[in-house]
Amino acid sequence: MQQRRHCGKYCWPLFSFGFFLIALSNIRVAQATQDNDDITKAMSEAGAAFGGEKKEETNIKEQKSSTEVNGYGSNRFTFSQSDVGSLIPVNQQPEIIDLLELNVQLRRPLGSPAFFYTDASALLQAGGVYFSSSTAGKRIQVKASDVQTLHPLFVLSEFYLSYSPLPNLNLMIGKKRIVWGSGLTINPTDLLNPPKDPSDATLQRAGAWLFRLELPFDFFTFSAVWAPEVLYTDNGLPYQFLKYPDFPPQATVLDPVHNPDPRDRDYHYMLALRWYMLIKESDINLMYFFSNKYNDAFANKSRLGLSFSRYFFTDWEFHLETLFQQGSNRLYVNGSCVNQGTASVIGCLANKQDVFGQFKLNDPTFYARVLLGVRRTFSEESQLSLEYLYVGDGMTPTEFGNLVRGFSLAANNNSNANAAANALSFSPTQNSGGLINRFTFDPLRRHYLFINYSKPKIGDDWTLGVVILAGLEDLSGVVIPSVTWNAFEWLNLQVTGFVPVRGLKVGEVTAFGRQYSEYGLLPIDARVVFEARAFY
Amino acid sequence: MFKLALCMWVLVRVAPNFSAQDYLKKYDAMMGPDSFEGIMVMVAHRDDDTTRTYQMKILKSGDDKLRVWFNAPASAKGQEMLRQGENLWVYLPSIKKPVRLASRDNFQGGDFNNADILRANLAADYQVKFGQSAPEGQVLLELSSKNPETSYDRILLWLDAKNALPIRGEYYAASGKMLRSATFNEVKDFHGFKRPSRIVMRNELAIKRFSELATVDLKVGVNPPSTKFVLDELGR
Repeated sequence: MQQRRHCGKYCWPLFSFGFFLIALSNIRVAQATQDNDDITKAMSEAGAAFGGEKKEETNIKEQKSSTEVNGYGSNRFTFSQSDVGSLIPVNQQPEIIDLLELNVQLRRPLGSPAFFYTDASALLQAGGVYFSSSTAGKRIQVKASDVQTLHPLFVLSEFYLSYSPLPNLNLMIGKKRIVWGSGLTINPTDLLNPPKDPSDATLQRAGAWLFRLELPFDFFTFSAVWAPEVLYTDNGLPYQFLKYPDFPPQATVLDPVHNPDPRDRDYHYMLALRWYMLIKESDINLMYFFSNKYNDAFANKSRLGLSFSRYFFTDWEFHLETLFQQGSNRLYVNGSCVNQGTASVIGCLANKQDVFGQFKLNDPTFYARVLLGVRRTFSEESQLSLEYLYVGDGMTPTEFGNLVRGFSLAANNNSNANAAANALSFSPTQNSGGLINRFTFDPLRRHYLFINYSKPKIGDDWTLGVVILAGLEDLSGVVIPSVTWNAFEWLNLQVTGFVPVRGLKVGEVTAFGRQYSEYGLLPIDARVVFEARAFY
Repeated sequence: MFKLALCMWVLVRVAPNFSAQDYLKKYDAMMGPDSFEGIMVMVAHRDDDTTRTYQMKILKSGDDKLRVWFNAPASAKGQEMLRQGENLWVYLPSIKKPVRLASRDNFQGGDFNNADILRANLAADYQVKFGQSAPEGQVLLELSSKNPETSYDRILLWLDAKNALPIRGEYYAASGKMLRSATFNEVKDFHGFKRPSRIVMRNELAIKRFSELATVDLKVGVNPPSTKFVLDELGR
């Protein structure tokens, strides 16, 4: 009986991983049978797909008016080694996770000027093997618990109706990912959507619920977006927008201690205006955002954005994306409450001083987030992208030191430590309304460099890649090498590693006698991800 | 000297009225008509003898506007490309936004580059003169780049002297190295418009690799609305 229960916990990930390996070993055999002289067949298929059956005298019609369906199935197997010495607790961080995703992308024309589109995924997960630190500081296996991030999930990445009553007028309602910025790894002006996975931007396609009016012309476009915030969701599906109802969310009813009632009487929304211009072969976007408690604590907040992209010297694409705002919604730790250890925390609590909080929320200082990048595709088709990110409201060494001291003190209390870990957003989460990223990035400090290099066509179907996310103040970061095999036109197999670089003893902060860097806080020693994705 | 004189005599005999510029304009009008809607298939043959097949619909308006929709393979379905003047973008459904491209980048990883497919207007980018060694019944055009932005520094084009149908092309880097060679095959009549329906582009740097571009259907003289060529239309 004990044996069966043990299998039940780990069978799925092991079975899926085994299936992945079997598929890998058999594909080359199958590939040899692929038809090499298929242009005639492809021509016939293309004729049918775009304009009815291919005939000698056929007229090209509009694309077929029937529903178009495509998508993929993918299996992602992740093995991580938890860093049990991390300030962030790892006792609920499974070392083995298997994620199965079934995706459908459906486009249904509704007469000539309108269509309906959806991009939906069902995600099933299984995970297990938890480790933590013993009182002696040793790595020990701990019991599994019900981990919220492993629950099944349904993600509507996009779900909208688009209608163009006039050639230069488009109306859209529903959920859509709208990204106006030119950044590749991160978009400072993206205030609407779930965050990208910085290791692979294609892994996050989810958007926001919104209404958009757009006026597109040859050399400029005007867009206006109004987005109500999703306040309550269940397994990824929203059921309350804009204003809290009279009843609290179910999580609060079940566990009010860990899930305090979030309700207020405010309307939670964002209004965004964007003016796109194509000037001298440059893409320029000017953006204005006005929000009220939309995904953050800012009330009646105005922000300005700018984006630029252009090719220079024939092959070098240069881009700039920047966001300006007054104040910051970042969480800071009150230095006077943590400098002297637990005694100072108790002192602050006794004096009703906040130990941590959004102390710069109403700060009149203007802060900028600026991304500068270049991208080039070389003659042998390798691609290099370099991006520098400046975060104006990022933490100074003193503020980062206070944060680390706060973590050190919170680590003594498991529930506080879990809350702190969530605030850091180092781990994938389910509550963003998006797909589950392999890795999330929320900059804490001010200066970052992102390097992304890929070399395709190594042996025709193989692509080598490496992504480096580097914090420039303490030289810590993550190195993410990958190997992708495009085994068939419809099948990609990928192995990706995540290796934290703890820092080079430069710019680290000291907390209670230990040195810490930003990526030294990552709760993993290493992570390996195997993914098979079959398109249809 | 005798050969040169013979070539010149043949040239004058078969094409007395066309200048090299005229031939190039005829080539451009045939391979990149001013306005058309077409269905095309590109098959990329790779070193290991396997293939990758792309199905696409192309819409062109004037010299500077062109849009491509990809229907296959499944991993590229929903991708679109747009050219507006010197600007090129690809819309990737996987990231839900357009990304700028360089005209010298390879077209979908095949042996054509983006300019070969999306910017077939050689007369605008190259100076042209007659070459000296065309077989009988053909003319040889020698094209040299007007600016460093072009994909090739020099192009040699062999055309049928009577009707300017392209027969063969060679494409060179500034170093003089041949990068690509093309053959133009199977002339077909598409609704009264004749042109080669298959182009085979060979990668001379990787000798086993080549790509075929086949025209399934083509309709010239369509007048698509300008809103079809707007960046924010991509993905709709």
